[in-house]
Amino acid sequence: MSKVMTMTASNSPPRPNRLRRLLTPPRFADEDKTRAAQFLNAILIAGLVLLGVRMIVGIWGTRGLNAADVPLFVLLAAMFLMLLLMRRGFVQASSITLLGLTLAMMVYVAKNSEGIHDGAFFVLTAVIVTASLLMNWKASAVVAALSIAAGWWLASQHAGTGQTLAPASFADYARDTSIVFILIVVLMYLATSSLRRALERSKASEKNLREQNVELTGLRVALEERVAERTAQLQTSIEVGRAAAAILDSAQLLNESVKLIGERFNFYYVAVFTLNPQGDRAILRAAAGEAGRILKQSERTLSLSTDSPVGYAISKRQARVALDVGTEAVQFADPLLPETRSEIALPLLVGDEVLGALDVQSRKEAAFDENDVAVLQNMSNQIATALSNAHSYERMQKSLEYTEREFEVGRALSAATTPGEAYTALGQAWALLPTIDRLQIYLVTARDLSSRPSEYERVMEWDVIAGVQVEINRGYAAADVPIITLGQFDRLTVIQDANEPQVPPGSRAVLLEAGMQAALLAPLRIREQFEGMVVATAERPVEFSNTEINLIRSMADQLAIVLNNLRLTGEMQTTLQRVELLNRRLSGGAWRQYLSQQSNVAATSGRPTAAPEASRVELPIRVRGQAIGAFTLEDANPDRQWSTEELSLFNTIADEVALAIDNARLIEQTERRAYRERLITEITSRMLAANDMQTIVKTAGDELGRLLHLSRAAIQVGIEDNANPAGIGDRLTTESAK
Amino acid sequence: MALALESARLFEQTQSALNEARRLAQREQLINRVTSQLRSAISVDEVLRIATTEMRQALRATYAAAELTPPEASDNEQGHDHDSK
Repeated sequence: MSKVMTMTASNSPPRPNRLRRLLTPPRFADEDKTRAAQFLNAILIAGLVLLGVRMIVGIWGTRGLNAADVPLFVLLAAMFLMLLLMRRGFVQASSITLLGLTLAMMVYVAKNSEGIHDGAFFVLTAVIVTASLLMNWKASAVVAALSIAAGWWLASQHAGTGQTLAPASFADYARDTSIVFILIVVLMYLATSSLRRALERSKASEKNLREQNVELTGLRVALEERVAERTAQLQTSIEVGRAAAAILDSAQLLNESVKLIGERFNFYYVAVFTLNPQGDRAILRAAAGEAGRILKQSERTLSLSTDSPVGYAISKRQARVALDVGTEAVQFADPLLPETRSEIALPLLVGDEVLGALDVQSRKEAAFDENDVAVLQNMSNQIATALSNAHSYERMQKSLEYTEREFEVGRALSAATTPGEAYTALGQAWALLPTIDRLQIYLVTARDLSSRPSEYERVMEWDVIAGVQVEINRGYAAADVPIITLGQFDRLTVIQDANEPQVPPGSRAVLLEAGMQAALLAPLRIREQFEGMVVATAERPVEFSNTEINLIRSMADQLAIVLNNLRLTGEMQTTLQRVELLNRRLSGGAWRQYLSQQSNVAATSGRPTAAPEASRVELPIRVRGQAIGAFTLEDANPDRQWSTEELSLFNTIADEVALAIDNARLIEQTERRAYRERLITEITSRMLAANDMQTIVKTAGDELGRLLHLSRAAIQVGIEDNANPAGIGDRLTTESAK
Repeated sequence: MALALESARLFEQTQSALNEARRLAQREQLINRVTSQLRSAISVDEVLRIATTEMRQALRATYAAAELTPPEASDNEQGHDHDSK
């Protein structure tokens, strides 16, 4: 129920609004028309109300309509009709009708009443003013003229009516009213003219203000767009700076930068060129867009002539803008970039050093103003700084990588136990160098009378490209390996390009004949003597960096040291083996002699186990590497397991025993020798105590018989007869018997 | 609780290390004793006798024996021996 009521209430518009709409004057596009409609609306509504009240009062007073009310009724109807016409837009027609009707009505009333003296005639004054308000001063003048004519006509009509006034006074009255009307018109003209001029000035001022407003609005919009554009540029600049700070790989940095600039500014083409190592050409390093990809694949390079914006920017270290419009219009003729209408190239500067240029192209005419140049130059500087940092980082990384490689090679070389392992370690390290295609190692195998190498052996060859190590071990006469003559025996030799003018013609011919363009020769010097050459070659010109040269020199020096150490180690091992063999031989002989004089040198402890399944362990007794016997341990328990610790203890004690018995043998032999020496001394002293030969010989025989436990000893002293060796001449014979 | 467990673990580690150190000390002591006895011997027979006795006791074996045999001479040694004669 409430819903229905609500809907009903909402469907019926409120009465006050309808009444207000009825009373509100209409509005038109023409301001003058609207103003006239406002006046006309107020006059008509006021007239309708007043006439309505007048008719109601008249009808109520006379108890009905009389003839005098008819004009009022007609006027009332006419005013209502004019109100409708006015609301439909016929403002001027309604105004003319109202003025004409009022004028006619007032003249008619005056004619039927007191003529020119009637009050209705003076109402014409209000009609003149109303004409001025509703239309203009001309209408006011027309109404005034009609009023003057009506006044004269009314005066002439009353001249013969015999009224109290003299006929001349009617004419004077008509003249005076005419003057009054004319004065009213003049004053109205002056007033309306003044108002109209003020209004026109106001209108002009308003129009001017409106135009200024439109202009300001346009300016504001343009400024907002400009601010938005600047904000986007700054945002991009910040992002480029962020990328520059975060990315340490130069290729990734440049790709990311051109991509950001191209996408954010909607440029047709963005590219970065950097200088080549020689510094005479600009190489395309990164480019955005499909055309950029194709150009990069084609490895585009540009000369540094000032004809191209990029060459100009790098050579002059200034931004260069090229447009296809204006006095310096240029033609963009790159078939891959057919839509280019503007181009700007900015140098990549770090301090005074120029690294390259940022090239930006647009489809718009005159796309780059001073602000764009400033923003793009800022980004170029950021890219240049980041590129410089990335290069420094890459150099540092490469240096670190070389240092690590040098360390690894040094470790591998130190661990090498044979020259072959040392060559392999060196070759594997060198194979990782991107600049080397082939590596050969030559060693001197023979020298001439002046100690100059006369023969070489190529002990190793690495084909770095194929990653293959070829062991050659082939001998060459010095004349058959001319590539060695390229190098010096006491210093590193670097040839970066065989075609360079400073390379001797002979060396160039040798290199080119070998199919090589660059070479690096490092001598192997052992104990200040040239012992070989490491020859690294490349099939194309190579710019060896200082890091690479130092690495190669260091590796060659390390190889020389390792070869020297291996040679010394080999000599030392041979010497040790000889000493060990000699020791073993001497020790074995001594023990063999010792044991040959002894019978069954052995010792036991405990009772031997008769059972064959007893747990048994045997260990040889070694003296200086020579086995001279064995230990045996037995346990009656056949399940006895000898632990590692027990066997270790067994070994340790066995070693101590070997040392002890060798010492004991030496002691025994020393004691025996001392005993023998003492006996010899005693016998000698006894013999020296005798004073004749017979006593001496007899003493000797006695002592020998006693010492050697002989039952009989005989000594003969004489001179050997050469003619009869078997016989002896004069003899001194003695015998000793127990 | 964790502190107690950690203390217990450390105590076990300490005990284990102590036992190992004690075992090594005993081993070294044995080797030193045998070595000093061996070095005090002045004859080969005495060395072998001490060695067999100590080894049998140290390794808790039933029987220990040591026998020396003349080493075989190689061709070079024979030549050398011959030369020396």
